[in-house]
Amino acid sequence: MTAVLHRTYSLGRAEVLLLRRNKTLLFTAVLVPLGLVAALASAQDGRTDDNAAAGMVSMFTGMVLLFVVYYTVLSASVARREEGVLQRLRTGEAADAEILSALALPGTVVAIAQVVLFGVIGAVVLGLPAPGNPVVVLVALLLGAVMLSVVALLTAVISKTVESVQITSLPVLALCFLGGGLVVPMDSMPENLSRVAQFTPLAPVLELARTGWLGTAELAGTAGQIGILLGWIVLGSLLVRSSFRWSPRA
Amino acid sequence: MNAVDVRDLTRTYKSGAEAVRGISFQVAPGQVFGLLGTNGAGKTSTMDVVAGLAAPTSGTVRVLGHDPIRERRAVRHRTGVVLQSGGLPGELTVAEAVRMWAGTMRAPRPAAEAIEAVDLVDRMGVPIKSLSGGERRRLDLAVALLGRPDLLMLDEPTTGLDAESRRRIWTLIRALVDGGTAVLLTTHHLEEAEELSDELAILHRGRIVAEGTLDQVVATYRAEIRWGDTVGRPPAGVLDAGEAVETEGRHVVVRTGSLQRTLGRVLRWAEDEGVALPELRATPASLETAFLALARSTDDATAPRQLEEITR
Repeated sequence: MTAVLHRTYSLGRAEVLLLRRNKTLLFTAVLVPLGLVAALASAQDGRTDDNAAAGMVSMFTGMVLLFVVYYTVLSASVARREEGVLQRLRTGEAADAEILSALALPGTVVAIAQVVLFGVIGAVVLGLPAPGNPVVVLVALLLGAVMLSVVALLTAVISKTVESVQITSLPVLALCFLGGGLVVPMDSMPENLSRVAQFTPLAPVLELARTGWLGTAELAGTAGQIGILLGWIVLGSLLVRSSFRWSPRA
Repeated sequence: MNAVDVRDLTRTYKSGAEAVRGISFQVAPGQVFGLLGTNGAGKTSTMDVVAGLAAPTSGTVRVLGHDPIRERRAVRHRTGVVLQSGGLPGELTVAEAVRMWAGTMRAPRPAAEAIEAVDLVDRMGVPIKSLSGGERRRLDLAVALLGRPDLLMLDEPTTGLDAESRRRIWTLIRALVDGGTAVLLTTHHLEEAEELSDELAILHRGRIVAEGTLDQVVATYRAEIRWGDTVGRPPAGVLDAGEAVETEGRHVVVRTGSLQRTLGRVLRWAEDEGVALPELRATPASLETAFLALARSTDDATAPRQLEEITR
């Protein structure tokens, strides 16, 4: 186990260096969520009621997971494949899962840091309450990061170049924005549509984040959302295992 | 136990293309085995299977006694691989890339030692994307050496390099082999195969068409005497049975199993007949002549041109 962590850490540390040197990706990962906080602050009318707080938590968590985790994992996996890095790493001692986990490491760390920062800034500037159950929020972030990393790896299967991810990521972004209630709130959707939307990838993450932050939900009471998320993760992982392209020639 | 044992290997792509068609070869410890062939001959397809990056369609592959895919853990810490594409992130520096690799290994040699072995100490802080082609290849080799491998797999390690860079890499490989490392080398440079290979196999269209030591492969082919034709007729009485004289363009070409004896006869014939022999050239049998002979004997109309191109 220690060896697995050591190998993943070593590869993940290199990914952090690469993220730091990729100005475009760094801008997307760090400044876009902070810009969102600024936008939320400027749009706020001075009071933060429950609905407004729920909207802010949903919007921020969704944006961070999509633009920090999903986008960095997708870009990194396609770039490393194009450079032949993934193929070369497979000739070494690291297992496939370790190589792919390392790709998700920087995005996940940055996403968690952003949400913590959001909690602090939100409390001071936006009047947001402290998370009611931080464990549920953390579970939402971790499972959300894993799920969106898996979805990013699946998107990489159909992305030939780093440039093409701007296009190939659109269906996933659309599904997450619409299904997660970021464009039209869930409770404003027709009932049938709302029922289907609960099963889209981002919806259970946002529900967990909202109830964990603003409610007093215990972890045991969130089994439905966690089950949906685990379903996405297991199904996606199986698809990644069978279809992921490690080499640009494959 | 052989470092590599390949038996009846075939590899067919999803498209139906047969890249490797039933080849067998072994690589002993402390030996360099060269897989020589044109582009598309099946060298990299074979290397991918031996490196455990692709499964064979049929046949068996054992690396250091293990299946390279199913027993990946037992194999990878004892092998080093240099792929054609390099495969190190261009934004990392030399030292960062080597440290990253060392961090994935159970018992790596110190990063500084590997970098020193390939003479890149003064380039440690340079981003990989800023290195020259030769420096990048040496870095690839440094990474492959980190685990003190028993088997080194090198896929076209010097393609695109200048003569000096190529020599430096050859010297490094020879030093490793002297230390007992087995090397599986693919190349389309005849000079490289001649310089490094203890044994070699020539691949053509997925099949091994010649194999053995360099001397064994070369011995099955004939030396060549060539001159500009000034009289419009072949030399009379200079050939032993089984030897051939041909006209290639404006040249007369004699292929012989005994260069010294036949050359003497040609010179005497020219002296006696008063025939000038412009552009006279005598070439002993070599890997190049073997290669060209294989080109002539193939049934593929495009292959001879490809084979001739790589011998230039």
